[in-house]
Amino acid sequence: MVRIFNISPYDIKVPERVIAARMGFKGLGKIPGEFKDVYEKVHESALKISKPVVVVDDYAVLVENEEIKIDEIKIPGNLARSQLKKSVKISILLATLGSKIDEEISRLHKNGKEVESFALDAIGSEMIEFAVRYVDGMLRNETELKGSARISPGYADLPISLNLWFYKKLGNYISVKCNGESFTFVPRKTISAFIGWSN
Amino acid sequence: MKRAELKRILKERVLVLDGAYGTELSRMGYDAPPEQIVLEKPSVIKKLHADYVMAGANAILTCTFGANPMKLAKYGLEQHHDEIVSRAVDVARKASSEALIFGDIGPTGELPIPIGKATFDDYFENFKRTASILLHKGVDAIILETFSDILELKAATLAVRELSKDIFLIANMTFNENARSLTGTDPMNFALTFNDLDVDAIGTNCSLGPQEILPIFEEMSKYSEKLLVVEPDAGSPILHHGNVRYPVGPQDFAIHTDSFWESKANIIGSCCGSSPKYTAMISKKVGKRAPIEEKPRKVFAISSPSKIVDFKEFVAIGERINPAGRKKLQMAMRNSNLEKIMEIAKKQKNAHADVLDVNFGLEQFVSVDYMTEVVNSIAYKIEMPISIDIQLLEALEKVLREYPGRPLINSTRVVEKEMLTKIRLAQKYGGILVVLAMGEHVPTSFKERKSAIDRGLRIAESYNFPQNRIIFDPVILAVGAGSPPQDTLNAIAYLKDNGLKSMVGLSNISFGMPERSYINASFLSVAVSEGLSAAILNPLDEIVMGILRSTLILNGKELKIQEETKDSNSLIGLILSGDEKKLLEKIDVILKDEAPMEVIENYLRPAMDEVGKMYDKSKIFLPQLILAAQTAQKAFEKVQSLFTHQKSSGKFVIATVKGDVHDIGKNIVAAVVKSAGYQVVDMGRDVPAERIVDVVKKERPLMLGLSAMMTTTAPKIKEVTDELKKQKIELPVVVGGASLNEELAKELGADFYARSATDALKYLGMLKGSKG
Repeated sequence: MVRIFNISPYDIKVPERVIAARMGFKGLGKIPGEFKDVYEKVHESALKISKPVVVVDDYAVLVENEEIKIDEIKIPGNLARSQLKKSVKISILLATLGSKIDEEISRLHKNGKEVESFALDAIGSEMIEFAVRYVDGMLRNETELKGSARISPGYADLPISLNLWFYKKLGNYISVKCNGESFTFVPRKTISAFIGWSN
Repeated sequence: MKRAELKRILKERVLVLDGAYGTELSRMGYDAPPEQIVLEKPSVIKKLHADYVMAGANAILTCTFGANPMKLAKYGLEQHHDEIVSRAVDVARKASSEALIFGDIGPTGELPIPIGKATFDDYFENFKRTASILLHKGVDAIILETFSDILELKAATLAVRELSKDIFLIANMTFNENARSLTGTDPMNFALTFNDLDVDAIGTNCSLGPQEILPIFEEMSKYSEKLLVVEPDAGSPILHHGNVRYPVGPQDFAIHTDSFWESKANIIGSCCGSSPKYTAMISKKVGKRAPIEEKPRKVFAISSPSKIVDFKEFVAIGERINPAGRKKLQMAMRNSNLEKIMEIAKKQKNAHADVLDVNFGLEQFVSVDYMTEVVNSIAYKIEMPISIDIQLLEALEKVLREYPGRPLINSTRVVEKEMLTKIRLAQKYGGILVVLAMGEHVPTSFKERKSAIDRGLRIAESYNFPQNRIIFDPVILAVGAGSPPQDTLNAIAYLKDNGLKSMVGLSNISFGMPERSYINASFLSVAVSEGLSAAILNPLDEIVMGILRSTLILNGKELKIQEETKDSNSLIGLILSGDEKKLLEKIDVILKDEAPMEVIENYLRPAMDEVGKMYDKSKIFLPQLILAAQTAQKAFEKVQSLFTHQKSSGKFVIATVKGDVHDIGKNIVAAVVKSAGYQVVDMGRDVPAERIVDVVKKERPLMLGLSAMMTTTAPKIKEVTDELKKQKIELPVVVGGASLNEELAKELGADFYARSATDALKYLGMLKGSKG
């Protein structure tokens, strides 16, 4: 059964350290003083314009000769094998912040506000990751099964082309599209993931 | 459990370690140290162990963190040491069910000589005694936790390994929020130093909550070749109505599990302020995930406790702690005069030596304890890494064993027995080995040096000693004795061509000659240009150091950032600060004396070039580069508006290719290029090849920039370069994006690959230069 989680952006607590690292302030652990105002302003705007929503569905798994299949597709590669091969079911997640944040990133760039545009992009990337973590935690709490690591197409050897399948299965629920050639999602701040559940 | 078995399990899955004992017992109302409770109320400890196992811990720690003899002495419990350790393992075993039992050893609470009172042997014997009982009682692993000094941790590691090669061993340090241990070690230094030592895993625990410990763990993870362990506190403790409270709850704690896993954690636990509830949440999050395997970064570096010297830049090694031909220094060494040596060390540090070579001359007249004291005093107090230039094996072994970091071991000849002895020392105690390009006899030609280098590599390989822990000395002989320096220079070039590091004892070249400084400096200049990595030299010799600095500049190597950047009112300072108003005021002042074009060519562009260099050398962060570009752009616009005819340095067309919606990288490049006065035609993202070519034909730019973030969109670059060729348009193309590299860029038909935001600017500068 498909479930949709609408999350208040204010419930997504992204540590400042994480955004600092995403912006390139590596090793500092925080946003330096001279960028603090920009960060706070842009963060507030991100909270206002984001509409985080995560859609989840569960699938039975077929594992044959180390090959993992759900629905009509194979989930190939070592990453999938290492995390999903003992699963009795697999949850698929598609999450987005919506299109307004994309528009705002472009608007800021066009107006020469490069720092703000860059900061909003970084905050958006982490917000969507933490939105998924939020739902990931809820899913783990409601089951006695052991969850695998959450793995996403495009990482390691998990093909990004799987994004097209995510779009076909869940895209309509949350107004997400996928480019058929590059397999990137629109809106940009959208991610997909598998979690395997085993006994 | 055998070491290999636990290693195998950890390759397959992430394990969960238990949480706090001390703070949890205190919360329950027990004020005595856990080690005392083990004796007096073992059932309390047993229950806590069992709770952790029930919560999902795959391994529990024996209640022996403070049970080493030196620590127990502080509570008057030292006479119960053996009984406490033994009982603690028994209690853990009764509660463990199927969980593994890790024997826990914490620090002594004493700092080492020369900053404290503990000797290396105090530590060694202390930890050996605790470890021997833990091993005798059959623990599955030993974990050394919460160490705040790298030497104490090394002593504990060596003590455990002296007793057993078969036990899985974890070494953890604790760091403050500034990512330093109490005695100054950072996570990278810790990882590099312990890569050399025989431990199975390293990690960090205590002192910080999960959010604060994460960047430290990530840094360690980048450089460590070992498995990784992390155990944060439940935040920094807060005193609330007389009670200590830890602010991070189990749910908030566990949300960081993904980040630790992404940073390659193999074992995740919790430390002070946590409880079985935390373990339950971590266990839920970890589930049955397998760890991430990713190769660490290779760094050729040595260290003292608080300083790392990376050989990617030229390394100047001070030669002045060497009594050859210096009777007073010889006497000082014989009389164990530390003050004199520290004075020489400080002078060399002030003269910009990066590392100090320590040579005691006639070693049979110098006390071995004194040698250790000298080396460790310099390493701890003057913070300089050491090149240990000691020949007596017994003395070398003691100094290496007690060295707090990763030293240079200077040196061995390529004589198998001698080399093997030094390799074994390096394998046991850590360090980079200096290998002389010579066998039994002094080499007389390049051929002999080359042959020694090749043989040295074969010997190292046969004893499993990696190339990245060897630096070759291609042997300088005195030019006054008729030895041709060209042979040494050829050997340096040979080493460089084969990706190997080289260092020389510079002053040998001028032995017996007048005007030694000039000869030394001239040779050094040529040698650096041939690729020399380091030299033992006299940093107090201004001629040598001056020529060295200028040679490095001419070779495009490390050039210190101009002091000007520290001045917030300088042009660069204003650009970096983002203060548009003040920058434009400054430009107005300059414009009173200079024509607009001169302002661009002589002020703004050089300033942005310098900012670009600072970014390339990691002196500033990416947002600072973007802010600088945004700010400088306003100044360029102002100056350009003063031209009577529109003048531009040239056009740059940039686009993200078809199918790719990522444009932040492209936007940054556009901003940086614009800030240097170029006219940028930004076509946006998801742009088809035909449209890009049409715009190129219309705009006739100096260069075309293409961005592709995804492996699926990178091939679209080829469509553009093919179309340009088809239409016979000769135009340089620079490409960048996460999915690209130099090789792929060439395959896709690009002329240049931009690794960072500033590379496009460099290529534009080259093209502009070549077009006059």
